[in-house]
Amino acid sequence: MNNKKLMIVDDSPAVHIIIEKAVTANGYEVCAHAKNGDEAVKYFELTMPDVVTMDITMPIKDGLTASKEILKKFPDTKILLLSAMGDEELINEAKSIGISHFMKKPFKGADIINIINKMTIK
Amino acid sequence: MENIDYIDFFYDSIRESFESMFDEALTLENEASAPCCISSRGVSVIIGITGEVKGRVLLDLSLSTAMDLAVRLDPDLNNEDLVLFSIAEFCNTVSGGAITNINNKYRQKGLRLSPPSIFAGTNYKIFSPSLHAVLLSYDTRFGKIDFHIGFEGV
Repeated sequence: MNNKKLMIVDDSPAVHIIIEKAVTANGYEVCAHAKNGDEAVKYFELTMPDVVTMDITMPIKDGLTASKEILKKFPDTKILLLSAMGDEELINEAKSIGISHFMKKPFKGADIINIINKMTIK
Repeated sequence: MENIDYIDFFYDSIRESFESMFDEALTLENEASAPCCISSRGVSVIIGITGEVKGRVLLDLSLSTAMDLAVRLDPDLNNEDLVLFSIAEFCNTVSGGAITNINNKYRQKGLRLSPPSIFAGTNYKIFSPSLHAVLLSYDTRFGKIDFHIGFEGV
């Protein structure tokens, strides 16, 4: 265990399982599972994760809006945007709200671990 | 209006997403104008496309093929609900890849995706009377998968 907590935000339970298996095998604790941006904002304040993996296209509240709300209150939050969409306009929008890590789907567990490890040692 | 063949962007995205997610190859078996009424093989995922043009992607396959693919993705994705969500994620990845490339090439399009709708059952039909769609029918080791991709007014 490396004592780092992670919150997974995605509307697909399949993605939750794939990410959770990858991160727990590498010593991370999944402290919260959110299936939309609204839950992400609520669960963030309750669990204060070290890293958040955030999908973009979700019902109720999308990942960019949720990230903006979280970063407004907690500007040092480390968010990894994970999305099937990855055009330049969207990446620029993500950067403009303070998200510096982005990974396009599809992804492998090892890819996620590499980037999360880099995010947590900074 | 610019004459863009949006379907062109889906060939690579389907192949790359399938190979990357399932470590398997797939073969385009047939390409045709899609019928306005589809008799489903058993599992369907529909994702809407919004922006300067509107469209939708419909993925259709059998439950057996869906189950084999989901378990191939991760052995723990082995109950029916997780299987359906896995297939929706595949459709989302394909659609996102194609839309990303369209947006990067034609910056004013601003295309975005809706969250997927997932349907499963037997003997159901899907009607899209006002949309001209293209059917891309693929053969895989696990069975056939069909993409019906349509854009309004194209």
